[in-house]
Amino acid sequence: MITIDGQEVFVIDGHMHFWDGSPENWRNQWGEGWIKCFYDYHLALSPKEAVWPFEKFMKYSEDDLVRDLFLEGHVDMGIFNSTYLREFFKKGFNTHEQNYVLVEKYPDRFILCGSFDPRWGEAGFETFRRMVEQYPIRGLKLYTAEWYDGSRGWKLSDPMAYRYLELCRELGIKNIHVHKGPTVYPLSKDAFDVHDVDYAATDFPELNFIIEHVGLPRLDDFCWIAKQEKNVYAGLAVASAFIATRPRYLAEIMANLLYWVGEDKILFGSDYAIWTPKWIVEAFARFELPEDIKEEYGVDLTPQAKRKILGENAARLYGIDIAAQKAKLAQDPIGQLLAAQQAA
Amino acid sequence: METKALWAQLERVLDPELDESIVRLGFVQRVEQEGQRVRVVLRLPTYWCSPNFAYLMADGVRRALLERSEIAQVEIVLEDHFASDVLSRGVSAGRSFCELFPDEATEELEELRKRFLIKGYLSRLLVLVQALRNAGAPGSVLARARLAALVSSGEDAWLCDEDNRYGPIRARIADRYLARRAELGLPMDADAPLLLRPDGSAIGEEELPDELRRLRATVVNLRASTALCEALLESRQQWWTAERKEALR
Repeated sequence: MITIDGQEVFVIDGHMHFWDGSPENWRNQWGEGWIKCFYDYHLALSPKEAVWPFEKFMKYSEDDLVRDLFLEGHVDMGIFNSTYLREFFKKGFNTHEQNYVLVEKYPDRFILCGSFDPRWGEAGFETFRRMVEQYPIRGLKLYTAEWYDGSRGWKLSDPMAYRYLELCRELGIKNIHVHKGPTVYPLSKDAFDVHDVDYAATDFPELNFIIEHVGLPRLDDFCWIAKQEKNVYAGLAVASAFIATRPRYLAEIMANLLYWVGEDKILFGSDYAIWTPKWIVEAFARFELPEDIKEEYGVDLTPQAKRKILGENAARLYGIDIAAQKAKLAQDPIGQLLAAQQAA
Repeated sequence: METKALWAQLERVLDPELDESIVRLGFVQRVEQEGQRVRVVLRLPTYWCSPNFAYLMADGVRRALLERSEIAQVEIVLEDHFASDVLSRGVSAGRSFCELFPDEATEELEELRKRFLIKGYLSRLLVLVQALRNAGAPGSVLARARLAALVSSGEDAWLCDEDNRYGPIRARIADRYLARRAELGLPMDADAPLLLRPDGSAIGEEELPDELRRLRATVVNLRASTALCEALLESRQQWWTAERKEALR
């Protein structure tokens, strides 16, 4: 549990994974390249005491996840951003099936995201419906840079993507997390563009689009779009990890987001297990914008803004009543462990 | 060719996205010279660095070195990248990007390059304006100023109007702005306004605060990306060293 100004904060980690990046699961050299690249991100921004050995990073246990998020990481709930990458990993990297193992054990702790890929075509509609029927899918995670059958990416504005978004509307899935972070493909300039989000957000006003990694390295383009579109949100994963070693950059990013996007539309995320939430949440609770930045942008990261970002905004998007949810969580196995921990 | 001169040529090659020299960023691992032949080994911050940017940098190295008459052949080795083979062989043979990725590269690379030249321009413009403001130049003076008012001397530069002189700022800041402005084909005559948008229109005094806020987001993005790339490259080098040690054992 973390407090800001003496007040307890409800924390929803808006971006986390339960992946298998072990060599047994590598389909080819790209699987290896993928997990090693993730590990570089881990090494690059983690404080020393939070660095894992590569072995553990490739594949961690359920117990690790429960401890790192809930028992030690101050997190109350997590949003599984399922990622498939079947062309790199035999069983997929962290599919909704894989993440569901934990959802089943601790149903009140997680929000499970599924996905679609417009390149499945109409043939995929049935698969998509079945996924939503069989699993408690409450949101989607879309990865436009995914490789599929010779294609190296797609756009949210593709006609077939629109067909799937219509299906989301029909099935009552409202929250669409979109990876718009560092990308590889497609090769064209679109890889450096977040404008496909703009089209989809305008045409589907009843859906919410949470842009993960705040569009870095396209923060500026993202800001203009989010300013114009009421239903576009900023997911802080990756940016939040700047807090330990590069706080000034985070302050600049936060000031831009607060100015252009506003404190009601920013969602915290750790990107676990690239980074563990403990040190990020603790530092974020204490984090202050430097005076010169406050003055220049005319914004402030107030205790209220922090509470919204850490949990209240995500709770609103997913229709979670925080007081009721807290009561429920106190009773689940993790809640009981936490209570025992505190009593000791 | 002298090693120093060789590195000076490399220094001019920029990462198009970060608008910074690949030498300063630490992307050049090794340079080997044998007579008229040069071999350059590059390593980028991640295995997944975009192949279009990787191509622009690798090809930039080849072109920069071939400008010198002492060099007849350049071999580029891109280490530890998911498209290492294609890019290393392709660039060394002087092939175009679309030839290397025939099924995927529809994009005219030039358009992409231009897009980032403009982002770089915006960041250089903001750095110039901030430096001048810190040196006391008010917005009204900046919006009125002509190019001729920016005067460099040695390491320093000043903004001079009829009554005042604002500065000194570092000449490098002014030079970087002017170089990119010329590269984009924007007016360079003495009478042209000092502050221009990339489309060539002048920034008026009332528009300046808003314009600066927008520029600021571009620059924050650029700096954050640079910081991330530097940190990633640093972790990667450690990894590399550890792996080498392992292999040697």
